[in-house]
Amino acid sequence: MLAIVLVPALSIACSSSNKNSHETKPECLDNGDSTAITTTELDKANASGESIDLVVYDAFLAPAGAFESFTQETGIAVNILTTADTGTMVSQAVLTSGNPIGDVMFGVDNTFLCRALLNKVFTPYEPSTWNQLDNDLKLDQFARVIPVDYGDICLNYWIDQEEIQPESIKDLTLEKFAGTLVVQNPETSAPGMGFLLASIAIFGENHWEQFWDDLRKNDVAVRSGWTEAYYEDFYNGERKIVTSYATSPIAEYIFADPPVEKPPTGIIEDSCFRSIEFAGVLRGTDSPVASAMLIDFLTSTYFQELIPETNFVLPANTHAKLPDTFLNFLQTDVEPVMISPDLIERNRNDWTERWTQIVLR
Amino acid sequence: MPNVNATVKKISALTTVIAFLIVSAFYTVFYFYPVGKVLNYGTGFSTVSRVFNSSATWKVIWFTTWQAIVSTFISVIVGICIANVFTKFEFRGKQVLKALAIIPFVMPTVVVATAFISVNDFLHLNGTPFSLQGSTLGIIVAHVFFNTAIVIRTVGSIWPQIDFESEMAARTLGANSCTTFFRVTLPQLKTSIFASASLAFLFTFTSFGVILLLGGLEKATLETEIWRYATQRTDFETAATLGIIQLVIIIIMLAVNTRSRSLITPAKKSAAAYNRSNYTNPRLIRLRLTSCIVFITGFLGLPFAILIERSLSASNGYSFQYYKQIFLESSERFSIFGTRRAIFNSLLWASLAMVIATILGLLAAVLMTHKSKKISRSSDIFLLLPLGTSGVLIGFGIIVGLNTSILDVRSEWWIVPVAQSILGVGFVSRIVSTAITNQDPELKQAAQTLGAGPAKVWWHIDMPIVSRSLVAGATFAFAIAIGEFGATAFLARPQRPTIPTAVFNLLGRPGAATFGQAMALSVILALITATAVSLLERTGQVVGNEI
Repeated sequence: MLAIVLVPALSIACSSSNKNSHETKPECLDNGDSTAITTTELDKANASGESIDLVVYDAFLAPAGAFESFTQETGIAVNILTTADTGTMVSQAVLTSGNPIGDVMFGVDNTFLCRALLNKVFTPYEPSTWNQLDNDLKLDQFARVIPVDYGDICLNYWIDQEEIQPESIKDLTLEKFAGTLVVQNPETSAPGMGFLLASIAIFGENHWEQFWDDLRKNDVAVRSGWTEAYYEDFYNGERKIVTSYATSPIAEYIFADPPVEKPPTGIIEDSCFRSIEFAGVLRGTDSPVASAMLIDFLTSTYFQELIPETNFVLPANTHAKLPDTFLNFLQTDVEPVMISPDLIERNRNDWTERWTQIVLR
Repeated sequence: MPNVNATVKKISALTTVIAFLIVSAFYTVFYFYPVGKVLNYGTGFSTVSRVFNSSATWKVIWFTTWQAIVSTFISVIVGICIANVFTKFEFRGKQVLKALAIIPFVMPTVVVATAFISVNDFLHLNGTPFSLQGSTLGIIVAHVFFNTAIVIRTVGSIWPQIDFESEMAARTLGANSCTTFFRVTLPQLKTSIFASASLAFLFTFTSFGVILLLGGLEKATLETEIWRYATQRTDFETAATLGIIQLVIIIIMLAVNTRSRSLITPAKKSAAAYNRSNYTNPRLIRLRLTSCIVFITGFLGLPFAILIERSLSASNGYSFQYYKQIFLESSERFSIFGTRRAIFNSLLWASLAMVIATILGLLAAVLMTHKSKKISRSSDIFLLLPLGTSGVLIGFGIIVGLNTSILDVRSEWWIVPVAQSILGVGFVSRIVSTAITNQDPELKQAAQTLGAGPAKVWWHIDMPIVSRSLVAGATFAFAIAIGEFGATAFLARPQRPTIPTAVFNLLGRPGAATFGQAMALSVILALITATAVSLLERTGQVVGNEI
């Protein structure tokens, strides 16, 4: 069980140190300026009866009964406020920084992390679960954001006995895989962005453009979002390879109809980009203590064991047990790459513009 | 008599004042103030000059405008043809067909885009000049698909009430059907045609999902650029400047629309003078009827047929299993989507939004039909502005604007139906005011002369005419809300599943069952809407006939 969490985690450490060749000073992770929330048992007892808002992105679904049990335990009611995609959610938080629409935000990922931190969206709070959380996921040492879950954005393919299977991201530019790949536009889609970042980390600043140029020559298809790529091109077999998640084969198994013995899809192990999702207390909240308690709850083993099968992500808490479906079918020999959040923030617009020039124009 | 006249005047002045106060308060709080606050980000000199100096901006403005004009023009022509058939002919299944014609308007964009792409594959259009994917043609075809319903409903609510006698007279005097249509019928319909054209233009000018899903970002419009800058780049300055450009163009187009409407004068009286002998060919009528039915079922129906087929096709042949799963939410793996509650919630919220929009729309129509040209024309333009404003900016505006120290309403439960009704008011007021303008003033004067009080006149003369169009407007307010167009996606809203959000979440997870349920739920959305629309229509007719 530990190995599952640790193996990919170690490889992030390696690859992210490789990637920090741009020795510019990281700004957003370097100074935690505001004072952290501290809670006493008395504060916690007093928070009973309060009501707080948890801001989430649109794809997040609350596990059945999870927040009700938080309310039962603490006397704090939780309203879940759904916004749009992660980019929109972060932009809204930036626009209302210091005067937030809710109390806690969940779902900011490592690609948008620095934008939120530079705009001082969060107040630091170190949860009681801090030591149980995977160290490699704690990107902000000041605990302004706390890792809740992670997952890998990977290329998926249909497992088909008769055809040759792709084994590496490098295979995609081979002629025999021409016309088989569909990806998403990084400017409109999180997995699209993840795969672009994966290619930059894997091929390096000097060669990633060549990779995409070759992909274009190999007839790569581009869609605006995950749903279009997955269901319009991949699902009906028109395209054999798609950008999706490492957990997608498990979802294919869980939501199969009729039931299947094992997932019909697999992932290309060296094509993955590590995505981490964080939660944080929004600066300006009226209920800092209740908000802090919700952060404790989101990172607790109870909640952490519920999110894999509802949101298809992996728990950040190393004490959380994975559900059977994940233990049985999660591909563990993945070597995900990562790029530091401030490098992403600094280059995001430039990278997507260059990508657009190469792939779409 | 002078006494009565004075009271009438007083009452109508009072109505105007009350209507003005309520409508302007609502618009100020939920539209002008929040949007103004967001647009303020875009007034910095450096941003404005950067945006205007970029050739990309001009390219985007040009593409946005021309695709909207072309889409609107085609929607209007197609809509008039269909409305004509619905008005002039009685045939079996007409009511059903009429109710079905509104379905495209409420379908979730992502579902329609999927269906269009299937049509593309089905007809092997990929790689040909007629490909619907990634092409301007695809965008225009989808816009016509979504917006024809607006024209059918708006023009169709007026057409049965126009003066058929002058048509008959023209025909008796020998004018052929074409001449009669252009010289007699069309002038009487022009207000409704212009009204629906302006609505369709606003929708196509600010359309978001269709552009993104069928065009990709290569076919950028002002709306998709505003979205990209505001949400993905957190560059509110550029987004707001583009938002100002968008509003300015909308105001110009609406002014042109109002202007040109008053330029065309009815040719009612002169039409009878036409004298050309050409008798109607019954075969021609039949041809028109059949081509129209074929068009409705083919063009408007094909994507829907594909959807039904997908919702029914399970691994072991066709079955209703996805529908069963939606209603039973049998196993825990499906219960997270909350599909059953989504149906209930959607009905509840859409009804609420419809009621708000209908009441405010009726009040707004009072302003739009005011005798003073200044009041009527300016309210005509101002009330439609929300439909022409970027959804991102309305949503963000509410989030930054409606948050004073006294009252923070940004995350209240009712903000979603209110935001939906801001868009609906434009529809209701446009359609209702068209009907009021179109009525015969002599009838009202006659009633007044005969001693009927203002309330009586309103109830017996205005109401029957208004009710039909009020229903048409309410239909759209309901449809906008149940299909969740516009600004509401950019609000922070309580996590409560509705049909569109459940479809979104189902389509966000891999698996045969999630896909099947998403398709089935979209079919349910279509059927609920069609049923609601025909029920509303029936009510409208009953009210209209009884009074």
